[in-house]
Amino acid sequence: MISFNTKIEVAPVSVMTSNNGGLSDEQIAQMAVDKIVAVSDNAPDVIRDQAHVFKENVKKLLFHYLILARQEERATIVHTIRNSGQKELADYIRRL
Amino acid sequence: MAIVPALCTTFKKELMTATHNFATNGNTFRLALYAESSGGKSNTTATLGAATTAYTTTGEVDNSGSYAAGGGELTKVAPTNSGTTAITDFADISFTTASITAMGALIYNDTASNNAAVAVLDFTTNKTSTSGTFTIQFPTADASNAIIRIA
Repeated sequence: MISFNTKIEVAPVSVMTSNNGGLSDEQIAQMAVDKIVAVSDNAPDVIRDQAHVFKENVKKLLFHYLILARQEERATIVHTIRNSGQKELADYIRRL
Repeated sequence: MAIVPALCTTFKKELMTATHNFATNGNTFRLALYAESSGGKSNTTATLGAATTAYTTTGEVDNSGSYAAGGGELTKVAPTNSGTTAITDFADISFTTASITAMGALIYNDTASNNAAVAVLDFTTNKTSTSGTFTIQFPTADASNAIIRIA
């Protein structure tokens, strides 16, 4: 007789939600870092602690550049709207 | 518990009958959201688990924002091997400008004639968005964490 042991599994997912608008920079940074750095619960304490510190640092970096990306995109939008003659709308978006 | 996370039993059998094709040019898979405690459309409650065989509207959340009956289409990531484990993955999916309270989800094959069930996902607690974004993030696609793994 020939037989093979195999295992087929489904993993848990994460859910992020927001109210009255889209996800925050913090939430997006968390989603990104969760994909980049996975820390095993079974890792030795020292390694696990170090990995968590690294993960937190990566998250801060992502958060910074997410804010920068939003600001720069907004600046481009404001420029385009102002050039089309809608200064009031452009100023409103700039203040967001 | 009305929503129990599982790979559906019929899905395991259907893998052996070539019902499902996860290749990027393969079948269309969708993710539908479900509620417990009569939170689904028409006050229905979801009962999902290993015995689920196909997509059902019972317990599915109401249409809201970009969420419509049947859920959203998943963007597939081509199956691959990680060591000796075969894995497949999907891109994260978001429903925007939506007021949703959901406790779990069903991934199903929209190409299969009976909307064959693939997997039941449990969010553990109710997740709620109010006029906002409801995002499901799939785990890292590796041998230990990928959403569907055959070891």
